[in-house]
Amino acid sequence: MNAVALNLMPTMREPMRLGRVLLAYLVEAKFESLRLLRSPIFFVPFMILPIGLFLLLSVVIPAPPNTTPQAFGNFFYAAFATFAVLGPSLFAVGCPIAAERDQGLLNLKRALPAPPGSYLISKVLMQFAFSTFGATSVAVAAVLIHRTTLAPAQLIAFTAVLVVGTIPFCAIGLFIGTHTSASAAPGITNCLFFPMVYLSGMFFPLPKSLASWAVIWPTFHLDQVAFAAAGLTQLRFFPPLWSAAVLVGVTVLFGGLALRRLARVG
Amino acid sequence: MTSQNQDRLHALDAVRAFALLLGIVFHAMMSFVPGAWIFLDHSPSATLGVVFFTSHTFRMSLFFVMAGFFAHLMLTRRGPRAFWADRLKRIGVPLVVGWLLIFPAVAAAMYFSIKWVYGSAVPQAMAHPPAMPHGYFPLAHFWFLYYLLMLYALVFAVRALIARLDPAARLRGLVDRGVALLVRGPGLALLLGVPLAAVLYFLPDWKSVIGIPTPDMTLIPQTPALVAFGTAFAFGWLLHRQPRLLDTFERRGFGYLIAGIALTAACLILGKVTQPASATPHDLMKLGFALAYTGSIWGWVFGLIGLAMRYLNTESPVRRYLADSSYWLYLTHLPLVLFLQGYVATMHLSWVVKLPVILTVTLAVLLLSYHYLVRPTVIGQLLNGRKYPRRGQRAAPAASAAAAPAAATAGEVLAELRGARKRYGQIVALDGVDLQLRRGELLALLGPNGAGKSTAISLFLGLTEPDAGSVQLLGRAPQEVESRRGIGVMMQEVTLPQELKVAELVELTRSYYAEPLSMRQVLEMTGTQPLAARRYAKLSGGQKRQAQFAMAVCGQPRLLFLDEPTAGLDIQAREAMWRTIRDLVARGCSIVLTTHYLEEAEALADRVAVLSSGRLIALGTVDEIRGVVSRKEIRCTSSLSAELVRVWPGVTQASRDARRLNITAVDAEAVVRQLLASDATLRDLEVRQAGLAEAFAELTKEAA
Repeated sequence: MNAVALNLMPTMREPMRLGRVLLAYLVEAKFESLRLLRSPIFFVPFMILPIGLFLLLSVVIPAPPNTTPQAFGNFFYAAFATFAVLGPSLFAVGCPIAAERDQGLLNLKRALPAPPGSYLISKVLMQFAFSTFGATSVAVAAVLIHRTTLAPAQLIAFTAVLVVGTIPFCAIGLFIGTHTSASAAPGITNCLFFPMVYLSGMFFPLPKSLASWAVIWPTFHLDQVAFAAAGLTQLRFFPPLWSAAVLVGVTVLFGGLALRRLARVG
Repeated sequence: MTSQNQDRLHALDAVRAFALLLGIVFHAMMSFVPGAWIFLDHSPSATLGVVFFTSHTFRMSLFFVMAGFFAHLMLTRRGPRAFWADRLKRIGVPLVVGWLLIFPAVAAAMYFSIKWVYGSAVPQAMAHPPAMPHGYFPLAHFWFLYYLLMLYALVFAVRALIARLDPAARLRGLVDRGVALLVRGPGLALLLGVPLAAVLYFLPDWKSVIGIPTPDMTLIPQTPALVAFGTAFAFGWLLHRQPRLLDTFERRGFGYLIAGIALTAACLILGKVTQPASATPHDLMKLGFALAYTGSIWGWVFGLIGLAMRYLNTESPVRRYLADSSYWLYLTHLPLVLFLQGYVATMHLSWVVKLPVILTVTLAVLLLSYHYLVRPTVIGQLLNGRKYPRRGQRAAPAASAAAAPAAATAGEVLAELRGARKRYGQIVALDGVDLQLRRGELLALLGPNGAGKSTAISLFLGLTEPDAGSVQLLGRAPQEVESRRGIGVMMQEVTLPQELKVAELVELTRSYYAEPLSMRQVLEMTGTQPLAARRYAKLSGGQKRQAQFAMAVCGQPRLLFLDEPTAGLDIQAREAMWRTIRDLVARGCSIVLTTHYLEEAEALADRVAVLSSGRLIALGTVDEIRGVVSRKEIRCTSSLSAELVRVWPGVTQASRDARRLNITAVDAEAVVRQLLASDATLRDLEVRQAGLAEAFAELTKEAA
């Protein structure tokens, strides 16, 4: 270790310039994506599964007799597009944070002057990338195999709402990730993931006794907002503004509790 | 009060808060239960009706038992004068002022509800309300304060009477024994309901669903309420005369709870098969219902107190906060609850959604109002008898106090713990530690496992907050990112991202700082050039420590925290890291270092702080710490056997190899004299101060 000519003790320390702070966020995101690219096993399922299932089941399942193929196709597309964003949003933020907490990495970041929330933001950005890829791939596939009657603008609006609408699910995943261990987080998230998918009425129409309960699942509200944005009136059961309010509420509640815990306990 | 009794009060505080909070839930359920309120929600629920009925059975009785208990406690602690001053302030003022402010809001909420629910088709019964009772006054839910004041007056009158009639305290002894019997005898507490059962049985048009008729419409005292809540209050009062009886609750709690549930079930079944209200006064069914109902009250009361004693008997900040806030929440909840009930009544949503929404919104709004408008203000002082400072205000004096000496000595103290206390559950990790880190020094934290070293570091870094005391880091709170920009950290147990290369990890860390070293400088300084292009996952344990060290120093920190930096390093790498550390200190960087290797502290530290069981047991230079122990080491070439020397006075330990004898002695001079006298051939005599290792062992042994 050679002595290096250093100015180790600058006497006056000015607050960090805004440019450097922003750069720190970018660097964090850059290395986060680098990490993921180097361990593709983590994100490949998110990208492959929705489109794969969509293509497979589109071939297998015919439209039920009491609906038109067009309506069924739209329903089918909407279900898988939502499915495509739900996985990354629930799992890709909370579970890694639970793991990094167990590994002590989170505590190190809290001790270092990492800009507030930079690691969180970088994970949410990665999640946006997966969600966008997943939802877009399903949309493209739906167009290619003529499964949807939606116009491109409608598809774009639907996809955009889904991607932005992942934020409340990130908050839920984060809440789980900040309150459980690395080994428990995926399991618990799964326990929420499946009811969210099936009981929200996304995949198949629910029996009457369960239908009125669909409102308790945020996935139902996400779809309601997305349908409204795409101008689809058939599948709307709930005022979209109320649904949006529910999603905001979920974000504030779970995100707030998770951030509070991150700041205090790590 | 003994500490045991202090603990008890946590449980009873929780019970009182539970009774009040249950009241909020109860009122929120009202609009979903047929017949319970002036309108019925579009999604009514029979299930909720059962919960509604059950919670109403006991909640006010439970509250009045606690009120009686705490009233007697206050009287014995503070005397009658202070008692009345306090009660008038905390019960009387909320009754008058609270009613004046809240009742109009309640009325407005009812007005709007009726308008929303019925529109123009207001039912006939509501347009022409029934005749008002005598002394009509809409107390609303404030009636309980009115009855509390009455009961205080009543109990004082009875006290005065008994003092006159029973100067030898014979009657009081008898009553105490009676209460003890009621509490200790199995199931006897249910008998406490008999007086109320009699009153209800003879009440001409008793509506059994409502239970004890709520005395909220008139200022004239109502017999059923006075008997019901008077019994409860008197029982609580007498219970505090013999606090030992509380032990029994813990034991019998489950039994009573089961009795309460069974009797409530009996009431629900009886209520289905018969309509006691309409029956003649001599109806056996009515008597049975009244006895089951009043018995269930006491089953629930004893059961819930028992459960609280068993499970909520410890201090908990959350429960404490809820207990403090419950009074405010209960006083102010009604208008908001009624308003929300009216607002959602006609929506086509299940009660499963509506009720939680009503409760969540109400509690959120009221807790926020409590936190910001009540707890730190004169209202909190009035309601809870004390005012909690706001978080910021509380932190401010500590911060300025901590900053003052730092400013006075021109930044001499870079980081400081003051009276820092931290506990994890039952374990006290730090027990009032004062520790300063001065500019340009290396402070070594020593201590056995579990001594509190890591907790101290966590406090310095702002990873945890102290339970008491204050922490200052570079003149600020450690949680502020600005203060952390001046520090570097190397933690003990951390797994860095496996996929990244060492240079990338350093680059990421560099991005956090305003003026980091260049990558080349960092790698050269820490000798990590050969590792730069390798993935973290591929490094050996020692190389990982080197990479972490590079990350710790890359931001040119003024203050460096190194937690066991050389663990797992080979000798060469360790020596190299020591050189870099010395170099950093020479340039004015201050370092806090924890280590298991005492020679590391000996080699590097300016000062050593020894922690044991969360306390700072020694603090000083390495020499000073060594000097704590008067033992010296004596070595010589001699033919004397170790066994012989070991028994000499002043010798604590002796051993030998083929040639040399090694002795540890308290009184080295005397031992040397005796050595020379016993062995004329003795050569190569060496005497030296015992090392830090011995001093450390001695210190921590003493502390333990």
